[in-house]
Amino acid sequence: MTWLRTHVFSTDHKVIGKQYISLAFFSVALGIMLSLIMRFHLIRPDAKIGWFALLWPTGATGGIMTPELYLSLMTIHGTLMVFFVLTTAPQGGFGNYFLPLQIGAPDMAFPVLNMLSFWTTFLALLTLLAAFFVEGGAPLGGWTAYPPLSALGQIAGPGQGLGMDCWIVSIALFSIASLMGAINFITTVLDMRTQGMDLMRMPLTCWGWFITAIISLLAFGVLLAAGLLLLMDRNLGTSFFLPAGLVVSDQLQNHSGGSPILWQHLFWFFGHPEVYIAILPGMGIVSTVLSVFSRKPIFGYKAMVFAMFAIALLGFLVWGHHMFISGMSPYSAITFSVLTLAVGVPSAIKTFNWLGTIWGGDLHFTPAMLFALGFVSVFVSGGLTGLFLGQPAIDLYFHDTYFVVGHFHMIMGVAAIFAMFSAMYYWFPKMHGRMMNAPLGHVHFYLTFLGVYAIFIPMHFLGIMGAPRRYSDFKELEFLADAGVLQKFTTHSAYFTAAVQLIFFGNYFYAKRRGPAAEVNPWRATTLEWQPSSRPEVHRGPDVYSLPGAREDFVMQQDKK
Amino acid sequence: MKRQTTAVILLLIAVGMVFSALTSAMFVRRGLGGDWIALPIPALALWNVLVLAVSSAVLELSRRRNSRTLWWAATALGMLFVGLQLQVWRDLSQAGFTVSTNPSSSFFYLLSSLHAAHAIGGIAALAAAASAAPLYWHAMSALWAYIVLLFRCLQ
Repeated sequence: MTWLRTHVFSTDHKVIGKQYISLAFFSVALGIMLSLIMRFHLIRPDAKIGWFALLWPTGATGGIMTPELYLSLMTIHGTLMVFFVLTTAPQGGFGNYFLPLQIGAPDMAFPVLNMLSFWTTFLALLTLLAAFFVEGGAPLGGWTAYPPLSALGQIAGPGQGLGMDCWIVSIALFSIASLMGAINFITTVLDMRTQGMDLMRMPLTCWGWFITAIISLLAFGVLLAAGLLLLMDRNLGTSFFLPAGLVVSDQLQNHSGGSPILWQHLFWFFGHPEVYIAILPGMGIVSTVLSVFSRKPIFGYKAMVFAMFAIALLGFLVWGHHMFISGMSPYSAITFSVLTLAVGVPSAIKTFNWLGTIWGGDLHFTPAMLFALGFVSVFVSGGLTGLFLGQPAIDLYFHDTYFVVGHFHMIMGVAAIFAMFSAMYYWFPKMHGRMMNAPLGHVHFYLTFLGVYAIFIPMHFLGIMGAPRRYSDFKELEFLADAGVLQKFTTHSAYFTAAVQLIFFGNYFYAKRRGPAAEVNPWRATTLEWQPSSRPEVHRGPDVYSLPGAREDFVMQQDKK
Repeated sequence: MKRQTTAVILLLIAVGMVFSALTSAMFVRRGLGGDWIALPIPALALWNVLVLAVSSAVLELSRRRNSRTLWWAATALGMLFVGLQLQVWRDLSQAGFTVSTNPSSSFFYLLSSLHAAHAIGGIAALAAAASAAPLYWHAMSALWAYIVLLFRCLQ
């Protein structure tokens, strides 16, 4: 009973943080495996694989994957990665663990609610994975679940029956869990800071988590509402998203007057801010790590805070750029386009300040620092292609091509993952009391850095050639006959990069048990989580705290060699 | 306690986003085509606005006078509201409006049942004598008035 209370149903923010990280580890491993199977299928669509038939007797009869099975793998890959990895680990994982420590709070504001958020997220994950095992298998609609496909039920294809319902219920549960988490995070920041910890003295990591929580609070309710409408269309015979006269598999559907575009508006009003939910905690982590390993205070602290707020605000005004080809008025498209390109301004401020932070610094190239620098690199590379997609005229061509796939994997996937790697290498000594192996961390970084560029840059070229996303097989598309070599290169890069991650997992699990013991503050960082005192007070500005009577007290820039 | 009030305000913002999303979906859906039928809202739904208003007023009085009896009276009025809502749905379906009859009735059933679910949560909070429960309860009263007003405006 005590064991259950301390390790499973714990209300301690540190345990819950680790639970979120474990959930994300599991999800990312599964998500990577699904993507490898998809990449394999793309270069060898006719391959007969015995264990495919074992795993999916109907989806891969005789071991040959059907297009429907490919789509269901893609749906679960996207859903796992966006929701259960990028949304859980940076916020629920690292945020839960370090927010209270960094602002000197004894725990989150509502420990029981915190536990409830995690277990609801866990339930959501089980519900999602259940889709694989119900009749028809997992849904086909991708993580965006566009109607009419998603609103019709079994008749629209395997996986669109019970599998789709599983998906919607899972996402609804996830939304509720995220809302509970957001309430907890915001309340903690507003009401639980220690004496002297003004808002404008908080580390940028805390600002990242705080603003992310605000976005979650405003965005997830909309997704929940959209999910309810979709469930009603599917199960109660309403017509929110389904138009009249829809004929599917030669059967006239009994719906009238709805619009699939309505779903797109609701979904992307959530969906675009969701991108920032994934990346803002990473921005905070990277700011802190760059500062610590340059031995300099953050350059332009206030500008960094306001830039994050600007990104959050703009995030709610740009959802239409996902819908340029939905037939919207060109005037709306121009408005959405201008607002979208405006996101480049705060993003550029942040990049400039990151460079300002490391400029002239005493750089320490630890694995955490390398991944933070890598984050800035992929953030810029991924962000620049956003300038292409943000323009309606260019998006007409690029929409639903591999260019989009390359873009969002770079900026949202890889950038956020790099921030998580940075956070893991940086905080490992605090979380587990041991040190990870640094040389292995270096190897892991350099190979991963090469690997992700090798995967995603060719995708941009594929997109420029016109390769449509979500196709399981390009054989029939003659204009892509020359693209085979790019597909092969991408697939082999994916195998390589996935294999490289074994170095990280090996390093992580070995260091957790056998790594050398860590000092209290191995990086000589200045934030409060590294101070042993249980109830600290704050006496200076942001990121240069001091503790009365502390044995050691660090200020950035004091240890130039 | 201060943080409970903060949390309830944040919760209300989140609830507000759910209902704003549904309201805007409703306006968009109504503008899509000619199939929207104005919903004859049962009179009881209007009376229920009054039930909740009285409940909120009694709750406020109980806070000022520090009276447990009035607090329980407000909670009982809340339960009465939920009971009467069941009758509202019965009246509506007897008038031939079920959840799939028309988008107007679909939205009405969805909004009213979502509101009822939130009100039941509020009743539980009142029964547990949570310190921030009155704030939440007033918001539930206002929300029902808003929903009725919305459907009156779309007549």
